[in-house]
Amino acid sequence: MSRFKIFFYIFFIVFFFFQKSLLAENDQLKSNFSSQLVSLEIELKNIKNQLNPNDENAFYFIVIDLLNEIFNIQENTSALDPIINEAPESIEETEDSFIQGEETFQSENYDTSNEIISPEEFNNDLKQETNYLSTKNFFLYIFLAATVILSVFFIIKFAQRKSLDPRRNSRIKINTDNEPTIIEEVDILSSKDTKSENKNQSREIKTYGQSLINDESDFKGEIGFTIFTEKKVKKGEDSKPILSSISNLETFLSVCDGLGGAGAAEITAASGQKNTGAYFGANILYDFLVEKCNEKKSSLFEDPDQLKNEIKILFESESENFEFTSTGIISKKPSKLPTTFAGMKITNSEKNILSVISLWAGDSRNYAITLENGLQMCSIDDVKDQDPIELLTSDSPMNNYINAEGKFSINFKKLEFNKPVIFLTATDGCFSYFSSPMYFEFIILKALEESKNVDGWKKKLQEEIQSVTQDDATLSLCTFGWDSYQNLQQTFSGKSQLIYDQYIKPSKDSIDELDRLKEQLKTHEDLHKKNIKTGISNYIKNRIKN
Amino acid sequence: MSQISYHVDITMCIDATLSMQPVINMVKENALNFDERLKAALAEKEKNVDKLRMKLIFFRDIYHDGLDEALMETDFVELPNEKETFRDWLDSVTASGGGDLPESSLEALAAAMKSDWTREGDKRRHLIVMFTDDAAHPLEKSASFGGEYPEGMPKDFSEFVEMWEGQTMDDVAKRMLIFAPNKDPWPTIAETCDEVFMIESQAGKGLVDKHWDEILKGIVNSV
Repeated sequence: MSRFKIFFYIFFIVFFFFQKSLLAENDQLKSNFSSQLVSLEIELKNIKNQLNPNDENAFYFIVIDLLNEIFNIQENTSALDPIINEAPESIEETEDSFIQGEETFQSENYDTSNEIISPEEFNNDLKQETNYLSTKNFFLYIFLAATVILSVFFIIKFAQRKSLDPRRNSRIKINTDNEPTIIEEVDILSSKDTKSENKNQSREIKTYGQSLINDESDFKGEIGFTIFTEKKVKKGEDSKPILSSISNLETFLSVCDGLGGAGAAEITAASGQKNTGAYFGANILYDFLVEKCNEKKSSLFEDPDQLKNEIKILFESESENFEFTSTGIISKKPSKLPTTFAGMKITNSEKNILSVISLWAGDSRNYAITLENGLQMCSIDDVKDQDPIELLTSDSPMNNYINAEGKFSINFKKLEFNKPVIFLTATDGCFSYFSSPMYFEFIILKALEESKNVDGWKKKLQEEIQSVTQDDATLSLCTFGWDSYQNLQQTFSGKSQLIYDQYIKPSKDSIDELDRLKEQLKTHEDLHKKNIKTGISNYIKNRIKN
Repeated sequence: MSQISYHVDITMCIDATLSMQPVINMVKENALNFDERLKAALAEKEKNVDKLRMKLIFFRDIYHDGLDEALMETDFVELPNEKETFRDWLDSVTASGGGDLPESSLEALAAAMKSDWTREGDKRRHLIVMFTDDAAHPLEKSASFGGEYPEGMPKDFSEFVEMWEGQTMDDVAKRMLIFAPNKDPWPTIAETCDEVFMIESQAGKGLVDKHWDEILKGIVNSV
């Protein structure tokens, strides 16, 4: 039994008890009054019979005096003034005769002391009873008032608790074990969702993806840039890229790509901003990474477990700030705020050696480009099919990415490179829509060779990517070991042509040959059909007789 | 211009039992205009599919209607080039039969998995879409069935999962969308198998525009 019910039972019992005793006392008082009034009535009738029927004033004054005696009213004027004041003036004129008659009445005919309680006694009793009742009533009223206040307080508390109870207004389904299972929350009383209303009150109003690397943490290297392109402006699901000098020796670059498939459902932030879960996922992570760069927390990027825990807590907490519209989709895949992440922390600790920590979750990639080995992957896509060729050429479904359901891991790899090196992180929009991974390398180096400065390189590379991609494309790039753009250009001079001759041209020639053969095949098929048709026509001509 | 070609194959498994009567025409109409709607949805996201093929599997209840009436399969047709053929197939189907409540929908899915999926294109998407308003007969039931039953079907649910997770389909390209009520085995399939997405539909209400939008969104976002 709830405390609320117990409280009410007690309240009703106490109330009933006081109510009953009060009624009993009132009954006693009423009974006393009745007996007094009966006696009074008899007295009045007797007096009236003895008076002259034509002298109404005499009767009036006798009654007044009698009442004054009974109630022993010393200052009776206040109680009887209205009556006296309204009495006819002739009454005052005949007062003497009345008094005289009264004397007769008192001395000769009436001694009521034996039959009824004297007015003094009655008045005293009445006063005592009134005092007693007043005191008792006072406490009773105090008690009732306290009870009412407490009751209202409990009712409000109870109603609040009910409104927060997830079982309220839920559709209950009985499963096979006869255990009730909540399958859906529906507020059947109101079109407004009380739960979300309460949630709204505690939601943090903020904007996402607006953080900036501060001046102190801004990239201070010689050569570096970022690319941020949206396939449809303001409809992108990549966050902005990061390129930051966390300290004089440490550089951090990263990209985040919200998952347009799993996170396609539109959600609403506390600020009222609406976008897909994919967009918010990528931008929550971006804000977090910018904050860590600005706070110079470079050690966090060396501890993938700690990084994962912090991101997990952040995403779980951030998911409370959104209103998720149920899509009704059931799937194995986590779908709350899903995003990829690829980042590299590069430490320029020794003269010619660079220590690199590669971190990633999903299919965004970390790359390094050296003169000896060309474009090298520093991350391995979190996809189902790990076959190297499939990995590079197809878009296998992802099996790991950051999400608010906590079902993810962050991959970690420690690498070392000799200078000079180009490092870049990129979302799949940058590399997935070229015909081969070699083509992506070719484009990066071709753009480098054909540009006059860093800005030109960035612009040309962006144009090349945008010309083929069907997705948002984000990239962050920096170099180590070159003190000028011309030196960098000189290092890779002629490299793109080598890649072209070695990989791209043969592939291109092969595709051209296939196209030529397909065209040839089509021509032969058309010719064959035409010949068949002619043959049938000739055949019919010779064999159908008119 | 994109350097890669994208080919999309879609097999639609459509429940053609009597209970689907109120919605079968809507299903047919939407299927017929599907290529146009997909094209528009892709254009909206500035994406492109180079080749789209569709195939239909109509199913009822093998145990009640017999194999010939309970599992009807077409070839893939390229849209929009072979739209007339596609229209003829759609017109030939009416909602009827079904018998008791569960249908032979798992057999239809197994048949869909074994379709002649495209190997062309630099990138591919192989999509199975299931539309039903009811539960499915358990596959184990076939062991005690004396009538005609399709060959090469999984014998139980674990074989069905193996078939999906195995090599029957291109592991990278495959996806499955299920529009079904919250009845066995649909939620279990979605929670067990990779790349399977289930959207609950109300029994007797079948498909609505929302479902078609979900299919389109699923394809567009995965291309």
